[in-house]
Amino acid sequence: MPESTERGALTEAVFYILLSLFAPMHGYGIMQNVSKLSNGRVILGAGTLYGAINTLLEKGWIRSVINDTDSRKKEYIITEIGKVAVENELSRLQELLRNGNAILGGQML
Amino acid sequence: MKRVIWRPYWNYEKEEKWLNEMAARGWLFTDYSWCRYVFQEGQEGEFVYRIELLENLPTHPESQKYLHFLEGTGIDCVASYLRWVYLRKKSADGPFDIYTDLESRIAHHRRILKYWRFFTWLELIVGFINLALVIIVWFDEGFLSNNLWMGILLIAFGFMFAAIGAPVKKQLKRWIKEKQIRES
Repeated sequence: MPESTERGALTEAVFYILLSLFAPMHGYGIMQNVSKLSNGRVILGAGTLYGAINTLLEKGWIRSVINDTDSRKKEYIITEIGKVAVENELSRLQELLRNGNAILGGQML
Repeated sequence: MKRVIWRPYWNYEKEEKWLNEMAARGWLFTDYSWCRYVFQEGQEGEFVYRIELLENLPTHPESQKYLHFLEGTGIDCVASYLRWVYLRKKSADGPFDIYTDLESRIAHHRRILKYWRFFTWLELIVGFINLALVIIVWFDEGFLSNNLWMGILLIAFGFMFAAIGAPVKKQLKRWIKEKQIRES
């Protein structure tokens, strides 16, 4: 299994883009899906999304799906390296949650 | 009905705000050339407008790829000027911002600051060349008053462009600081 050498936090936008691409999706589809996943809290700007897609393509975390029916709407899908990055991020987030809940849990919640 | 308004803008955010105010009153911006805005009468608030400075000219293949991508998300490029593009999206299709996190906003404003800095240095350098010419030629062939005035004018323009870039730099600094603690 390919190992991601990257550590460190992913941005919210990148995390949600990667999650969206467990199914093939085009740019506009990603924007709608991210908004739906976050109940409208995260709205991805098209410029921000375009930059993120290009960076993720360069890193090999996602790849474009060959789709000859309509070249206008290019579709993307997550790669194995991308999945590892999501898993790493998920365990990082779980650590944050655990520690946050452990400290706030007794006092505030 | 068509309406043409001449107006100088050097702050793209104020320009954007004005275009959106016009759109809210049913005047849809359709074309731009130097300081000249063309509006068509249309449905009030039908579109939201945004202005962006691209990395390359709109005709460049990279820009074409990007504008093509924007089209796929319901954003049309209605006009362009140098590397600036005027974009619009139907209000009914939801909120419209090109950049929604600090990192991409910072990158965009860095581009804008570099753009104004280019004009600042261009005017200052050509301005000082004119002044130097006046001094060099003075002893041999007499006083070149045209070059003197040209030099002063260009240097004044240089300072004007620097002043236009100043608020962009200030906001950029604020965002970079902000980015140390949050991402959007």
